Amino acid sequence: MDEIELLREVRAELPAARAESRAAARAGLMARIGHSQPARPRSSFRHRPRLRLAVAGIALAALLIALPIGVFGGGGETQPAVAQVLHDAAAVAAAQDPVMPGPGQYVYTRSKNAYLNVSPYLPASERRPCTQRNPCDMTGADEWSVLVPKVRESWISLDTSRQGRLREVSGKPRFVSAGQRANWVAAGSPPLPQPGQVEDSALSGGGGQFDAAGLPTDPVALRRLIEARKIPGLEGPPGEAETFSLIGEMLRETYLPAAVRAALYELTAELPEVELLGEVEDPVGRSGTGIAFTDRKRGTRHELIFDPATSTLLGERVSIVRSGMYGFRAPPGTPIGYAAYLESKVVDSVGQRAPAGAGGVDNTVACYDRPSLSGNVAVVHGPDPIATCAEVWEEGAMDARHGPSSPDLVACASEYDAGALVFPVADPAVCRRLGLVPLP
Amino acid sequence: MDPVTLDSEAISASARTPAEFAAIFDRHYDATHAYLQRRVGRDLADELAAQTFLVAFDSRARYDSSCPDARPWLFGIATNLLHRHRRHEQRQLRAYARSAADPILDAFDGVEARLDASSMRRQLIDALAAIPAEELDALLLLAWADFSYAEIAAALAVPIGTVRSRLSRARARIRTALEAEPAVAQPQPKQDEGDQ
Repeated sequence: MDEIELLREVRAELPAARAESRAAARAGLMARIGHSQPARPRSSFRHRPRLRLAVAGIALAALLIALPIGVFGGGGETQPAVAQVLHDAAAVAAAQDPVMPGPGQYVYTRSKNAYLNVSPYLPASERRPCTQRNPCDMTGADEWSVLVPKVRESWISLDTSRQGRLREVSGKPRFVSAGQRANWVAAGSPPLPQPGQVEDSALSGGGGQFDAAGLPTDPVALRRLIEARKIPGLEGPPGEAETFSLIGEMLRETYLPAAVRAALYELTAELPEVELLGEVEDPVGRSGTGIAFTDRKRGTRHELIFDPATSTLLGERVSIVRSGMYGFRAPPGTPIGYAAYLESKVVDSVGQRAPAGAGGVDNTVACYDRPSLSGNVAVVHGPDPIATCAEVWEEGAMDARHGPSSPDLVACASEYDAGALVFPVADPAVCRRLGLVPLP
Repeated sequence: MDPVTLDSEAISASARTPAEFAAIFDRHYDATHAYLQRRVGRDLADELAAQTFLVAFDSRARYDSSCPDARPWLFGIATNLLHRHRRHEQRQLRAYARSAADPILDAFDGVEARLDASSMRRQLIDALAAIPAEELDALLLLAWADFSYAEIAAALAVPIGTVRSRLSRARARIRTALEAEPAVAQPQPKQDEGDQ
């Protein structure tokens, strides 16, 4: 007998896949699809600090139709103070060295964020499995929502023929109000997102969320493109709240020439009704300059917080200003989404967290020339981070003016195995201030 | 879903409208699961089949739209996922060869794991456990997935000539094993102990 025929008889009569396995696999895929955006140029990881809807595929479509997208007609002018602050921010941005990856390199960004997962549910009497063939009409259904904190890392390449990468680790979910918890119970206490869950995905087209090439540096022209939703990957509904949100999107997890970043601050200075919050804390407690836009229709306020010294975006926050269209009975000021951008740098490969040139993450020590993650870095290798960087300082390699001695140094670690980060400062509190963990 | 839509069209459409990708799942999940289950058993197949479609969805932008049928692409992804479970697969094959009861069949309630006393069958299974992974992939895509040589080449991303040579080496190995002296009544596994 032919060996192939013999082989065909082996395990020839196994039962088909179980219906529940198939359903679980399909639900997993639909959830991934539901979280994704069109593959190119808007890749699968746009995370706007807006109410994100995490529901099953069919239900999502029904729900989206049910939510009117408000066009907010504002007529006010930007106050002079906020305009001045933003002009200053533009000037600072223009003077910065942009983070630009070379060929084959990636922009690595590490952030902490939390977004709201909103799930509609039907009353117990009407509950049944919803399938594509037999969809449930979720129009007007009640919702429960939960805030899911995540640590997020992304790798983005300029080269769209490469793959970027996104890795997110979920934390413990939190209800934003007692009412939302009660709704969850009414929905039958469905499983909550598991803490420690890792989502790791490849991002096609380099992983960039929008096409950053060839953007104008003239604020008027850039504003016109954004408002017309003409930048591939940054399409979206009309409205000034959306425009403000898109500006936040362009400032984060991206590589933009300094002049384009400057233009973004310039055009924000011209937007009506942008509010100056002054010095505020970002979601991890770093202080920065806050500006905000209130979406009256949705009853939410979107804050952008940037570092006035570097014009980098530190963080964002979306909070409730009144019990709005989502029906949260939560006090004004309750955050329903936030993000803090902890670190951004150029690295040599996807998955690598050490700065370019480090060649690996084992025993890697990043010696910073100032107590900021935006500082210049010397990447060296050695078992003792402080001693290793002290040598670099003593050689005058960090700052020739410093002379043949090392300043006080503090070593920190990120939550990952990225090696040590060493800063020239005496106070170990620097680690926590930068969103890092002190090393002994 | 329009039944005449090609897989390649659904995948192209999913670039703009991701939900179109559900059609790929609906058409190919069962076959993908069946193949995976035949290689590594039901429970692991559940996991790997689900993963196959997530990986496929994430990499849909790189799909070669000149291939109307997505099956070779999906089985190629599934094959890559299987490689991480190579030792598990080998252990199960050796256990089958040793005891004449297939652990993969044992996992099903109500399905009788009948003893297969044929020593030829056992030698065949034992030979499968020893075939190098790249040859085994080609062989089982042929025998268990009914792939053509061209489809195997597409799934494994190798030239068709490579498929031919892998298949001929694999078949030669099996023939050699089958022509060898029949094993004693309870052949002992040779390498199982160190296979952790």
